[in-house]
Amino acid sequence: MILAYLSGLAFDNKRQNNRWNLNTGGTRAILWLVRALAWHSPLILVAIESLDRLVSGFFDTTFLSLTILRVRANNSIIYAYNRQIAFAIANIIGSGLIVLILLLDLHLIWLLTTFFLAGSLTLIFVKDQRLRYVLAK
Amino acid sequence: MPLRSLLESWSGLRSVSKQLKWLYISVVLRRVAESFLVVVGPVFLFNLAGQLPIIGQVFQDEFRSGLLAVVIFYLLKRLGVLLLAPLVAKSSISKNPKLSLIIGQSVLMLAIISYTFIQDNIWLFFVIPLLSALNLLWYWTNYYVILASEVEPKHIGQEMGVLEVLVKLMGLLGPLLGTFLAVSVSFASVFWTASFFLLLSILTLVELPNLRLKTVWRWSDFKLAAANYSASAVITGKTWAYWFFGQYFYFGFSTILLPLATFWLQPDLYL
Repeated sequence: MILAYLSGLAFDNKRQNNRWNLNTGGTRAILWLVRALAWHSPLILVAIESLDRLVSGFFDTTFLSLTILRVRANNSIIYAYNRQIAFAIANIIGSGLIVLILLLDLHLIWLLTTFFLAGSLTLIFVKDQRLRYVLAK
Repeated sequence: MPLRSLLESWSGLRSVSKQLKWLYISVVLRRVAESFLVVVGPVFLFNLAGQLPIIGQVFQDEFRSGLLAVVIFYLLKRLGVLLLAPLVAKSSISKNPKLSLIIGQSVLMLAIISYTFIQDNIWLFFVIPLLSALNLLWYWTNYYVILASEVEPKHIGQEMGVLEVLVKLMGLLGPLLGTFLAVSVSFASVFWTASFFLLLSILTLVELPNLRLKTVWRWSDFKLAAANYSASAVITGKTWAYWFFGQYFYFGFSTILLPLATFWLQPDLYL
């Protein structure tokens, strides 16, 4: 929670350099992979969950702030709708993968691995966001 | 009063407009309501699998049937978003953000109350996702629009930071209390408690000012946003983990304990 607040301050003060904050989304994806690999080690799982809390403190605030700025910059309710639709598509893909894993009778660790793969894609898509939605101070 | 001034000064909430404060209170109350259902909701759906036509008969073992039921439920909800988005966007209600927020929240309350009747009316399993979809479209779209129009861009990070802290803080005890209620009283008690918080959330929305928006819906506008968001949105798939482990876990502490408890209770599942 402290980090969530501090990352908000950092977002305001260093708006030109928020790539690090956004890339914490990629870190969370990697944590999913570690979860899948270290499934039988409770201590590592505890460490991963703790780390995930810290990282998500940065990610959630930055992601939310950027979303608001995007809606504002686009000055349109359309963007807000698009966001819901994009979330829907993402979740449909995720649900489809899980149904596939169940139907093919794959090991349940594949579920965690798909989270990693999906989360990794965030690295690709967040790369150029800071440049497009920077607002003048 | 000095304490309040200190808090507002420290948090940056001093500059927040009155209407945004009510919106923040509303969303925090909503998050409290949702936190009650984080573990209980999927567990309830999981246990419902046996009663469901077709879905309950796909797999022989109870675990996979339950998981499939949960997945199908949330799949229907998101499909509902896709199907209903153009209709909602073009409806006259959507041109009034305040009304949309109130109706969206009311629809969610109706959906949660419907959970209590689902065992005797199994068809509700297919209706509740659609109600939830309407909520997503009416509530969250207008929530972001109001935030975007009212928030001070220079302090947006700080404000969102404080909001995140409040949401996380208020959501801490929800899963624990929710699962405690489910185990010690009943599932219905959890749903009614969550509905109560949603009712409070609706009442706070009444304080919002009336804004009018011109809504124009074009599918072509969707392409850019979808390309940007779809991948990053998948990370919210983390929620699947809660659902996945929920069936064994009736204490609702946090994800730190979820995998541990699951592994110790059911080690064969992962071997």
